[in-house]
Amino acid sequence: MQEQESRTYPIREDMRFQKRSWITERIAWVVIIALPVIALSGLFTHGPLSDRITVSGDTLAVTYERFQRVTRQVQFKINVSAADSEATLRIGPQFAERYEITAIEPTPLKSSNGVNGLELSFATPPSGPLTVVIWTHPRKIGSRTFEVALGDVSVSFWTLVYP
Amino acid sequence: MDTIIKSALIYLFLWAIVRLSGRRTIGQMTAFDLVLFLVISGAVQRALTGQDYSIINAVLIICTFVGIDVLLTFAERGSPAAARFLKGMPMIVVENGRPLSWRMKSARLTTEEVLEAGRRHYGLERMDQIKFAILEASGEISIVPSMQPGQVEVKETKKAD
Repeated sequence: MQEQESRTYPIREDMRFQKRSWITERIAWVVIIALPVIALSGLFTHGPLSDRITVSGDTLAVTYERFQRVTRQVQFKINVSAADSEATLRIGPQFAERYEITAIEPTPLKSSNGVNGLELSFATPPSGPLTVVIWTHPRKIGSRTFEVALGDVSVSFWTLVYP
Repeated sequence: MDTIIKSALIYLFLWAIVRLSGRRTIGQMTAFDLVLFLVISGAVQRALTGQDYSIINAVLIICTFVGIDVLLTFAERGSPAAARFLKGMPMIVVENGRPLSWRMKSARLTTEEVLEAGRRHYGLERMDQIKFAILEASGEISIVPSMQPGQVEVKETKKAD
């Protein structure tokens, strides 16, 4: 009797099912091994695929991770070149809904949150651009586009939060 | 709702990982495998509870896990196809002393492992003493010896003239 044929004694076999199981196992092994390798590219968080910077001329730039995971800490870095002694950033209303803000560096002079979103005012340094770092934890999964504005200048970007 | 969905997804993922990693993994758990499973359970526990350490959350997680387990048990009992899918099937790997090499290679099983099972359970020394070796769905190897315990081997002897 060929090995590929199913026996009935002492046990009832199903070699067709067995072969399909083995094929499925092999495919699963490839996926299990490929997942961490793909993750190194930044598909699930920090890495070449995820790290992004979006700019509006020389005035406003936002550095962020495009791919994030819920509850994992992420930072948004906003570089501002403003002529005035005070710069007010406006971040779209969905931001505060979808992110739990744990820290803002430097501490804003004023902050408010309303229907137009988050407004943060900072003292600009005497020379060089202002760098604001916002530390957050994503609250909700899914994809969303956000806007950061400084006066009339704005940039928008989207993030995807994995479960 | 999040808790129940997360718990169900994690249960299914764990089941799939254990099922698809291959039977040899389950049947031959070494000390390191035990350590690995403990690390996995730690990673899973944080994902399940998140920031919610309430009793209700723990109760929901446990009930979801046990509930799915119970449902799968009913499914196995009610349907042979479901049982096959969920647990796998046993397979003969040695027949009348002859290793079925294609099957053993596909199941990542070596003759040494079969002989070890024979030695451990019946004190067998050679492959030809094994009538059947069966790789069970659990990953263990069952041996049916050629001679059952208590049987006496009868050898032909020549009468002296």
